[in-house]
Amino acid sequence: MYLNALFFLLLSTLALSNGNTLQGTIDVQRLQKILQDNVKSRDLTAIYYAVRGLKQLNVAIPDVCEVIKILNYDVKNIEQVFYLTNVAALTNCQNAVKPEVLGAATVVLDKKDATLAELYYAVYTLKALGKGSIYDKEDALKNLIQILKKDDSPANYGYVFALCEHMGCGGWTATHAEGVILSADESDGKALHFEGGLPVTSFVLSTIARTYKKLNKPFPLTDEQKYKFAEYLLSRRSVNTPKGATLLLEGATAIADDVDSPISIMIKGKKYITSEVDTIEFSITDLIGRPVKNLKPEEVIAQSGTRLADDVVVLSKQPLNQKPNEPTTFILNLNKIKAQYGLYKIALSAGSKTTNVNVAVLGEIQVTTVEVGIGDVDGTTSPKVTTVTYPNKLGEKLQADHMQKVSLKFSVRDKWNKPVLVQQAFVRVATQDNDQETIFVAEPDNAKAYKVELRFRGRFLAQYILGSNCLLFTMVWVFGIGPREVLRAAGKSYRGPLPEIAHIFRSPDARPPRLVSDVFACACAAPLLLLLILWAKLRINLSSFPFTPSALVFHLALGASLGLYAVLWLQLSMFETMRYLLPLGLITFLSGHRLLRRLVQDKAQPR
Amino acid sequence: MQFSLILGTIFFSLALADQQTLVLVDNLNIRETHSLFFKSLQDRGYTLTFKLADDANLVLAKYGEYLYKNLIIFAPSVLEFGGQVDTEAITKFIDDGGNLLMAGNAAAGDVYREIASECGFEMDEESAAVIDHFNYDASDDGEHTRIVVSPTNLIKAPTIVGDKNRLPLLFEGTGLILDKDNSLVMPILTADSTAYSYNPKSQVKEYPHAVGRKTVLIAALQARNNARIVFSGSLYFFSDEAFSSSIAKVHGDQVRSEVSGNKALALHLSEWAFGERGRLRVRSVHHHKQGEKESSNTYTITDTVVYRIEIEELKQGLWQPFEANDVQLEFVRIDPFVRTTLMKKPNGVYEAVFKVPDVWGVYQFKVDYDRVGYTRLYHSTQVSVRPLQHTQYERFIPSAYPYYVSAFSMMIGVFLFSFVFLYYKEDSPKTKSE
Repeated sequence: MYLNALFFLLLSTLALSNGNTLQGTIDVQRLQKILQDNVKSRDLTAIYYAVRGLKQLNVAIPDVCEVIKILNYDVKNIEQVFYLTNVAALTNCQNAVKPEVLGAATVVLDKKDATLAELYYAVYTLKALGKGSIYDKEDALKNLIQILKKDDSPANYGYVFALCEHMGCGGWTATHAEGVILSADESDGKALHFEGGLPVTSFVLSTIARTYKKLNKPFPLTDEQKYKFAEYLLSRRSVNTPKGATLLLEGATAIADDVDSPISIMIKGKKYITSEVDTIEFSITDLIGRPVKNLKPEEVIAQSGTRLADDVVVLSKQPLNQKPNEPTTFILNLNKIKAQYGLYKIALSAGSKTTNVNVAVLGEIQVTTVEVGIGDVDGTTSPKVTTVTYPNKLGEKLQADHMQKVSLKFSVRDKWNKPVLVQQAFVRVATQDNDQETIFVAEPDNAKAYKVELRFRGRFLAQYILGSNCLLFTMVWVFGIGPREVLRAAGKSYRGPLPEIAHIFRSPDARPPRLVSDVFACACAAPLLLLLILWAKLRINLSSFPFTPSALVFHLALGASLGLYAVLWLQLSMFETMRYLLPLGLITFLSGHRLLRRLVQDKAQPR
Repeated sequence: MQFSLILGTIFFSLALADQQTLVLVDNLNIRETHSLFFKSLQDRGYTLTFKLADDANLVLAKYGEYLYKNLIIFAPSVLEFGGQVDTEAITKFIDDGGNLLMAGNAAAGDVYREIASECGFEMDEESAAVIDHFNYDASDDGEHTRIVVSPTNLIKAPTIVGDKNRLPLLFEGTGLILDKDNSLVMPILTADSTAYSYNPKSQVKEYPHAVGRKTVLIAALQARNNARIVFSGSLYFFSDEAFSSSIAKVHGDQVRSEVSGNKALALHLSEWAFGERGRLRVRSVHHHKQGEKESSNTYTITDTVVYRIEIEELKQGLWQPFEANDVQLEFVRIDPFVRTTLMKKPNGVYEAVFKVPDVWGVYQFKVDYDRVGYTRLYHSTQVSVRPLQHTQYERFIPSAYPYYVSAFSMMIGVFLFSFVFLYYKEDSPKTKSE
């Protein structure tokens, strides 16, 4: 029973830098969409760049005259005035512009310490309004060079070049352009840009390109410089603002319009083929996705194809076919090697430009059987082996204790049953709820058979993960090992509510029923009652009671002390009781002393 | 009016000091390739200072005062930082409460590894990248390192990652390993079971450092001083390209999306890392005996106590009532005697009513709210719990009536007997003599 694994033929463009081809283009459609979205905005800068970009693309520009009439802008700000007047000029609605904007431009031109940026804005504002230059060419250039000496940044050179373009001093530009280009910064050794990023880079490049075109001179960049500037522009292809889009477009067009411009070779569409689809499509274009000029279809040739593993050459000088109706798409037929999987390096040439693409071709792979064995850890007994055929599951539950280990043995085979090695051969073991996982790496032996030993406890699902950059295959298959204990104690739960704790109060002591205590209460009262009854029967004679104040006070005080105890029981605290008891006790003592003395005196006296 | 204006100014300047951010980059090009991310920070009021990572004049602090509150390091190729910045300075910056957002890639050098290990993460070896042969994007260049990660692999903490992450994420970079026992670090984004971190150019021979779901792609740490660190293995993750690129997974479930979820996640992460979210504070605490109004620092055993705490959360720059239903109060004497969940009342007030245990001693009311994504909230108030006064015991116990009756009958007896003893006069001898 064969496992029909997924199989893919993958073509990878591991870009080996060759110095003269690019691996990408600038998506003009996307930039155009950004511009078209922004031309409707109410922001002057956005409108200006959108209009400028759309003009460059030769796309219909919607009418913005009404919008610029009502826009808010500062007539004193030369930059805004420049944007406004140029939008008006580009869209032929000069009538929408108020005449006082001229003021800003003349103020700048009269200013002593105007910067080059301001001069550029002012001059081009005037130009947009149709006012010719009032500059004396020679003097003006001298003045510009004076200002440039103070700060000779690439941006300032760009402004001077642009002003020269207007004034007609292109010759000066031609003598200085190469120097400026040499001052570009290099990043990572593969991209060139000017200090100031995309705006300056694009501005300088497009200005130089226009000037040189006017002078009928070849673009002064070397092939390497062109390639590096193009790389930089490519790295900025994800711009989102209309300003970025327009600048990117202008810079890229300046490079792409050159006679010998960098070309881009990349795989188009699917990056892999299967045995059914054994061709790959390359798109060969210039920087902005147009067909390459002067490129004859028969010049696109796969020069060689080498298998990386053993350097065997598998194809040479195979021409690519141009796809009908798509001048930029070329098809390479890989029918010859579709069965010989592996990584290939294909050298592709288009005209004089060559590039290397790394191509991975792989066939079908399968795992038919897996041997599951349980053996002792020390290897004293030979393991008991069970063979499982895909896609069956292991029928029984495996029983193993901590002295035993589970080993898996399998081999990965291609369509022709030949064992192969894959980049990733893992066995994943997870709990049934997929909560915890452990991954084992299977290692191949000399016969390319994979072996892995598993040590874990509990009930688990096992799953293969076999992967490579060339082939893919996964299979899930369940077996269990007698549940012994969980892999590990559940991780301590930090952060999060803790279990609630309620205090357990001491329970009160058990009490007898009310009746029992009442009966006993009566029993306790009985002796006093008995005493009173007996006394009543005896008719006690208390006639010796002396009716003197001391006797009365003594008994009242004694009774009050005893009564105080009752009050203590009912409501008083001990300290309050003491406060009442002390005077009472004193009175009792004094009056009692007096009473007793009297009683003794009475007895001693004869009657 | 004037007062509020002044207050406003103070608040604004305070907020401004919070937003000084130093961005260290490999080359200034990163400012452009990651412009969307930086722009979003600037839009939120951060002042970004871009510096080359090997700039010889780098300083984090001047005269003992930090110049920045936040630090972004997007400089994977740096070998050694310039100026006065090094691993030690960055660690001290974090120890003093600074926030750090750091992103690397497969080529990141040892400085990255050093900082990572200072923060409790481990970064895989140089040139190792996270590979997933099953979840890679169509734009991958053949090594299957540009992987598509499902948003379900995100940590379940809306404070950190937001709660609307439904779009797949693009990741390309190196893997991180977290120490399981470190409770302060959090795996923000983990890879799928099929992923591993290894050198993409070689066959897997040794056990990879990070395999399967243990491979952490983005990790975070909230230090005990509430400094926050977000460490991403991928600088590409924050790039304009990743923000705006579409996703098409080549194999498996063929996930497709017009746009990646990177932007939303990156913005949320930066909001969290720089303290815009998940900050809590205690506004007031009040406790009293039920039925009374005045707070007291002494309670008697078995009293019923009402405890109220008002908690606030920083939202959009303003302190607003905090909403949660898992705030707990502990009543602790060495060990907690009572732990109860506080009831939510309006305006961020949380209340608990409970009976003081019948064991006396010195106790503390403790609120220790430590949740993923929030700053740790800790408040404790000490009170003493005393036994009953002798007047507070029960006075009329039915089963003690025999004792009461005995005592009182004794007292009555003594009172009456005092008359008999003192004044009894015998009659009979008189009659005899007569």
